[in-house]
Amino acid sequence: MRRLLLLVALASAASACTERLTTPGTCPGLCPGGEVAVRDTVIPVTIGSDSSFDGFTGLLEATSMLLSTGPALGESRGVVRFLRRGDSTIVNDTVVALPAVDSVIIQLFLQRRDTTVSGLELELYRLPTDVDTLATIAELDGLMTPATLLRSVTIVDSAKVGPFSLAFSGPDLAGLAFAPEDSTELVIGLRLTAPGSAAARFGTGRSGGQGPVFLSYVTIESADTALRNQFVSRAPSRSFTVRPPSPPLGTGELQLGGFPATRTFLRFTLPDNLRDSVTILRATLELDGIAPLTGLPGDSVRVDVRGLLADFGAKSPVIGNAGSSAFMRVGDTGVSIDIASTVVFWQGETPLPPALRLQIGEEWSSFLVPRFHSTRGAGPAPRLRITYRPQFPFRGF
Amino acid sequence: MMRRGLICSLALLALVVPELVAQSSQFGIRGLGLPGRSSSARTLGSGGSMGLFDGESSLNPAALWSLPLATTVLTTSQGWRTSTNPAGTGSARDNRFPQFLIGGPIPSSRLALALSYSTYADRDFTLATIGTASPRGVPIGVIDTLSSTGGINDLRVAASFLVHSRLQVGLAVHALTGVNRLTSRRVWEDTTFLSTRQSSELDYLGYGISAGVIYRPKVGLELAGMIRQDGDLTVRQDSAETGSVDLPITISAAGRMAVGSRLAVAAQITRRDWSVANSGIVSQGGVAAKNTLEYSAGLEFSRDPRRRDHQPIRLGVRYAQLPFLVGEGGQPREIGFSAGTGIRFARNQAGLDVAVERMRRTQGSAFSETAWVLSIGVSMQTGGRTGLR
Repeated sequence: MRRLLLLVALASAASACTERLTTPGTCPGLCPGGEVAVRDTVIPVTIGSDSSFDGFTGLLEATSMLLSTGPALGESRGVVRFLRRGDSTIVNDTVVALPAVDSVIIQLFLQRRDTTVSGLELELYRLPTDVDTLATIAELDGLMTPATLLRSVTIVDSAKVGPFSLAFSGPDLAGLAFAPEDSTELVIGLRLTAPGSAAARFGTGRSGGQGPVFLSYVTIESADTALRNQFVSRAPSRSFTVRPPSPPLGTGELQLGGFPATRTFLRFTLPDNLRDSVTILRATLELDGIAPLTGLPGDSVRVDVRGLLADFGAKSPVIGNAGSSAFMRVGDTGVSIDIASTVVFWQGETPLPPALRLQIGEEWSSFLVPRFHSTRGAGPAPRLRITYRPQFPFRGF
Repeated sequence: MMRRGLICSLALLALVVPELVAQSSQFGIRGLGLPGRSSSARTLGSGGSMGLFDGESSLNPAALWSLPLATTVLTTSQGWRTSTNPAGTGSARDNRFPQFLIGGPIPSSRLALALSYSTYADRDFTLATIGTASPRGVPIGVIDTLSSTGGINDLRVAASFLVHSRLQVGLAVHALTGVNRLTSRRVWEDTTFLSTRQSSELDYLGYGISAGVIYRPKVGLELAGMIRQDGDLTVRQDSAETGSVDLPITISAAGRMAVGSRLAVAAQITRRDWSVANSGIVSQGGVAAKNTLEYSAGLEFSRDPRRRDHQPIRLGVRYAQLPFLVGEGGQPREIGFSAGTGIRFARNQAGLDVAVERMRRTQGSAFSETAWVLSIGVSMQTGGRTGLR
């Protein structure tokens, strides 16, 4: 008997902590409260509360230089101003005068090009140091003459992405001197040429490892033979695109990106029942484009959507890291972005304002300029499609 | 001694587990839940047939006088269950503590008092449903779960009075209180739809009173009766009152007879007019509530007439109707067979009782369930014997 009790106690001890609760069910037949209901509703943007603004970021924040020629994407040039190069360097803790440069490599990074066009040529020009972001295409073209041409290099058709290294030596180095009278700065201009319309994107200094680099190779006499070959590199202090402003926005249009980079604000009026008594399952922002998106074939642009912490107009702060995004590709006429993670902040006792700020992911860096219908035009205005779950009727026995 | 200690330690280990959510059967999903038994492990071993005579159970206040000393009783049960319904078949297991009692006779008096906790209705469940939904016109796979934890507890204060050597009477007041924490979850196959979780609390409050009697018309024969009236059960959802449910009158009678010095047989019948709860249940979304009848019979064979509770053999059978329908159709019912035993140690001041029940519950052909339920009761007694025994 004691053994039996011992076994029973052991079995109970072993099983007491184990639970498996789930039983298959058929709702609404067996479930008290009935079935889970799901509903769908479309909330248009509040009339007149959708607007586009620019001035949030500057041209120098671009991660790409846009080079283009021809009517398809317009004219764009690139300008790179390298950091000053001094007249000395340090060898074994000793400052020595910088001797004559043996050779120079200018490295550029091709981020994307129009692969449908052959015969692309990249031209590098020496520009005066007073060229800045206010320069126009016409002014730059006036400075890009055969006399200032440093190199013209063919971008072979097989080159789609990757670094371009242009080596200069001998007499070619004369055009690349860091002029002391110009504060030892060097400014070069980039122009793309092609038989027809063409375009490409090159990295800027803000693109991480894809920015332009200027390498000067020199020979310095040293007892340590391992230090004989030296190079002095310079990253760009500025690299930017010179491009005409985007066409002015028409009535009833909203824009993201472009030149200057534009952002769009949308505001919604959330019904009371959605504010406090439902669970939002999915919220999709739907935007209809004015026209199919144009740009480099195969290129895309990321559309970022963020909620507002407070609505102060164009200067409204956005919710920290919470946001959603979607990509638009060349040829797209609209975009749908799931923003449920933002819309849930519009619910509860202390809701955030039901407003959104839209921008493209890399401003000043894309040929793609999405334009959408607004409430001020005749086209379909932005809208929010919300799928939600009403409160489950728990009270049922 | 070591072995005895080991047994006790393991038994206590089995009892001192974290309080876990538990699930009653699928027949506890609708209505107020699966009615509790308010019985100790020793009563469950004989099919519940001796419950009205058992002071360690919370059925009959008059039976308190059968507690020889101040007694603490804790009962735990572990169930293994296989349920079948139109959605399929699933297995589940659960653990809970359906009965606790502390009480005993007042020294040098004819009075015994007790405070007990027992499960009045158990409504722990989790239902899982796999299906599709088309929120935007496209079918998407979903998994819904609806779960409830909690139930209604019966807190009882009871007194028993020994009128004379053949007659015990008892009176008890009951407070019914408890909470159902309900949660509904949905998970989508398409993860662009957020999974959802909604929850709510139903809480209950009600009162009742019960009276009982045990009469011994002759040596070896005992008769017992109990009547209990529970009032309205107030139901609140998330602190807002949503209605009430009338609770039934319970009438129960039992007889126990000694056959020789070692064998006792007993039978019990109980009726509850749960139909009074029907309107309240239906108005709040339930299917229906119906009156119930419960029959049980059992025996207890004592190996040592001087220590009747030490290593007895208990057998029982029980048939009961269940009050709350899980779907349209016939009334659910259960039938169970049980066996049990127990030991007494520490000079008979501590005991361990074990009961195993094999149960089958059905409602029509759509809903059925089989279960093994292992119940263990630990009792400890303190103090000296009263002068009246």
